[in-house]
Amino acid sequence: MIQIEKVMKRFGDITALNGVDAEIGENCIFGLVGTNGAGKSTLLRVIAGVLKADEGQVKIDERPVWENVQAKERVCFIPDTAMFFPNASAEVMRDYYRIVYPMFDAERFDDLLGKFELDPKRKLSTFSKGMKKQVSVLLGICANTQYLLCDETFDGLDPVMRQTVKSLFASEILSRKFTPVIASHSLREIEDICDYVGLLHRGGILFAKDLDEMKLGIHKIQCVIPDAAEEEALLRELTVLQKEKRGSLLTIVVRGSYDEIDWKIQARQPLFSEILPLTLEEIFISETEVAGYDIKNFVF
Amino acid sequence: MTSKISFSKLVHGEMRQMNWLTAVQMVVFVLFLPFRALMSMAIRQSELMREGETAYSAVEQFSRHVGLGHVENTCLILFCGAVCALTTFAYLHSQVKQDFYHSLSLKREELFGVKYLSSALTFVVAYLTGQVLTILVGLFYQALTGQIAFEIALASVQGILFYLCSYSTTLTAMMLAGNFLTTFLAIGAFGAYLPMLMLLKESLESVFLNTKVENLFSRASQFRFTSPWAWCLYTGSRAGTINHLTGAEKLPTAGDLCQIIAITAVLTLAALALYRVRKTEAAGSALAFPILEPVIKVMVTVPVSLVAGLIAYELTQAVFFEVMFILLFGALACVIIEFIYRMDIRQVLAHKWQFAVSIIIGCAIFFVYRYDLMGYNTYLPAMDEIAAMSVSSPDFSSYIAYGDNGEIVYSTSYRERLDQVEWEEFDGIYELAEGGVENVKEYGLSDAIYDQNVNGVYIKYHLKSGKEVYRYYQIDRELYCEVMNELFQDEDFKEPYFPICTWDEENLNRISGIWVYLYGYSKETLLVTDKDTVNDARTEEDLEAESEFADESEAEELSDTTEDVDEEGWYYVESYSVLDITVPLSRLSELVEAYREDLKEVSFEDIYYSDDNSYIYFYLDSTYQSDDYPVNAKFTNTMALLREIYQEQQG
Repeated sequence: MIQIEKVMKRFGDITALNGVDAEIGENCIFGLVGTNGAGKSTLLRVIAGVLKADEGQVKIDERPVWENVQAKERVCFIPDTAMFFPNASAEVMRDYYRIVYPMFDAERFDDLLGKFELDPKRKLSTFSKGMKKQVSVLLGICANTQYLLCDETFDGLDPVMRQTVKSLFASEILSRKFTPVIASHSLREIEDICDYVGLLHRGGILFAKDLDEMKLGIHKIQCVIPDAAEEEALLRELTVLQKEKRGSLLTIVVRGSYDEIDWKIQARQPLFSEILPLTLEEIFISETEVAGYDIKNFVF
Repeated sequence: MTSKISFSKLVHGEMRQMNWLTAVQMVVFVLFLPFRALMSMAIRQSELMREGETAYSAVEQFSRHVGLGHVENTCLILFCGAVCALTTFAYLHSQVKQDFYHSLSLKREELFGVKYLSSALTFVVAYLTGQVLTILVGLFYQALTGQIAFEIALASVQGILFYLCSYSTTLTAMMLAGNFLTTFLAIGAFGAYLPMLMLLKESLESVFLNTKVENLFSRASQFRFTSPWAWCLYTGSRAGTINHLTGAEKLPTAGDLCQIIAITAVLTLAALALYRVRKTEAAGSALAFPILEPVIKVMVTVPVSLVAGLIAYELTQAVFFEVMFILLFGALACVIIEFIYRMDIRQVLAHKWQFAVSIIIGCAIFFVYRYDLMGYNTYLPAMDEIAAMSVSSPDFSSYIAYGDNGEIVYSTSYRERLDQVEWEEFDGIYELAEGGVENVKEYGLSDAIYDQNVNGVYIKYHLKSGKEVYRYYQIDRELYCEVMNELFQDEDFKEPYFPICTWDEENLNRISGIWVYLYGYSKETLLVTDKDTVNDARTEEDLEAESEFADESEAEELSDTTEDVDEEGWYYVESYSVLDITVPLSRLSELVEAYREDLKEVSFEDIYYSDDNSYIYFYLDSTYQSDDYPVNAKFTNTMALLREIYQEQQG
């Protein structure tokens, strides 16, 4: 388990992480989503032991990660831009990873390279961005560490490769102790694959929940309530994250269970009401709006 | 569970990534070591075949091109050390690379060790390959002796230590900097900051402390303390400075090597300590430790402002312009540094308090020198504080003294000459010092002092506290001659300035040749048998003309011709030529005895302020070093003997 305890990280005057608290369980895929500059990459780098937290700490399986070999050997970090040696081929990188990740499965790597149709002898500098990404993901998976930290891993992968990598992650989880942590601003990618999602905003974590649970706990409602007083009372009763009214049609995003929300709406005698499931993107927008990040501010 | 990463495998893996570095170094060292030896031997071989003989034997030729004392090799090694450190630890300036390396399950010190060792091995492999191939060249030409092999081995050890020293220095500079630009500046600062500071201090002192006595030898040895690279160059240049062939070559001592090891160890530990506390996010910023920003700014701005002040002083000698230059160039330095820090033209005027502090310090230092607020030039200790004093001047021509064991001490340094003779009865010298200080107070830094009839005199105060103070004063000639005449009446005082007075048999045996060069009246004294005829011929007019001639003749090359005879000044034109006499060694004792006798009779002014001074040169030990003594017509016994020798030689 990765425990993130009140982690604070500043870069000069900028606070990148502001007391982040979260736990990432084992054998699940954890998605870390957030706005640009929310601190996703910084958090991953703190978890990987690259950056030292100014305050707080990150523990991996109960061990503080900073300068702790036992903790760090359980983690492999795939940054947004992968590091390859100049003029290196996939083979060269494989050989180096075999040294720095003693559990590295070279045979599997070769096998996967073949499946991904990547030439092991070709210079990586001649690869496209997506191909480089594939190599770095394969290196990360074959490192056989318990935790794999992926920063914007799916960025640059075509849809087919994206699905392939997702299925690779899934099969890894089934075959061994494996916990990928995927940071991305692309909510659709996360939605498809992640079991848990942490939402980072302005250096702080807004929530970290089971994705299904989250979807069950937040709903979009469209309704028409003819009596304005009834409508006001309903809005007071519900935990409203987002509200929009066009004509007599009220659209709200609210927190709560389906049954409870439905019962409260029906009690106000609506002309029409409908409870819709939310996509992760809508949940993200609603939650961040509550935190003061209003998408409407960016619509000109 | 411990780290499963194998240290040795990782070093090997890193070395594989640096194959190119090994290859480049290998090419360079093969060219500089075996190829150079091979070429020199091949050239000798071809010379031998062409002309049947060569200047050097095979062993001599080989030894000239290998082993110790090759400054170019030292420079190359130091350069390799810097380049290897820069390339190996370049990842410190890249976030992507740091993400990779710092996420590995290695402690920072382990990663540091891996990088350090793998990089050092690239050099060791290349350098030792070069040295081994050099030995093979020697074997091939049958020019390798045990001594040369030992020297090559020693040079290899020394080379590796120099490399590590340069490597560690560069690394320490890199740890402080955050990007390539500042890294190069930091390396430059490590190498040049202190030498430049030393130069600046000397410039300030030479301009404002005009009583300071330079210590050239101390400056040369102090140079090594200014940077690790200077230390290596100093050590490297000292080794092998004496001819290889005499067997008297100076080898680096264990002490020399231990010093380099100690410097390397300190710098490596410093670099490691900095690496451990260095933040990963420092990559790309100007400095890895922002706390150093104001310190470095002040450290750069103050010397820049001092240089500006000095230039203004030299150009204008006006306080207004001096202050303006200090302000202007200080501000310019601050702006440039701030730009390097932020890379943002809008922020170049930030941190004005740092500018203010720099300017205040700059102005304070400048004006302390400018007005000698420390009282350096006017320093005159009370008589009861002084244990002994000594005096010297350019008048005292002998540069040679004899140490306790009879060894020759040859010195052009006035400090050393002042150290050789100290007087506990120093009333006269103190009087000279007082006169010098008076002149400093009266004329300050003005050149007007040189319009007076003054003499430059070196004085040393040996204080009872043990402190030794050296000063150079401009002293009125009248006072100078008066005091020195009085002092020279004491034979004991005179003797140390004339080692000839105390020469013993052993000293005499070391004389390998005597030459006398006579000019002007001295020459006439020798040539004209009836001395009075010459003396009588010297009218007031002649003396005046003689004096003028003496001034002019300084600028002209001496010649043996006597063609330009002027009717009015026949005597002086005649004296334009030089008469040189080679005194046979069989007459040495007589000459020394005659000179000693004359010395008892002549005054200081007779010796040094006679317009027709000539010189006797005693050459020592088949070397080019000579001990020279003034001689003129006042040295009657000596001149009589020289006349006799000359006449004998003329037949």
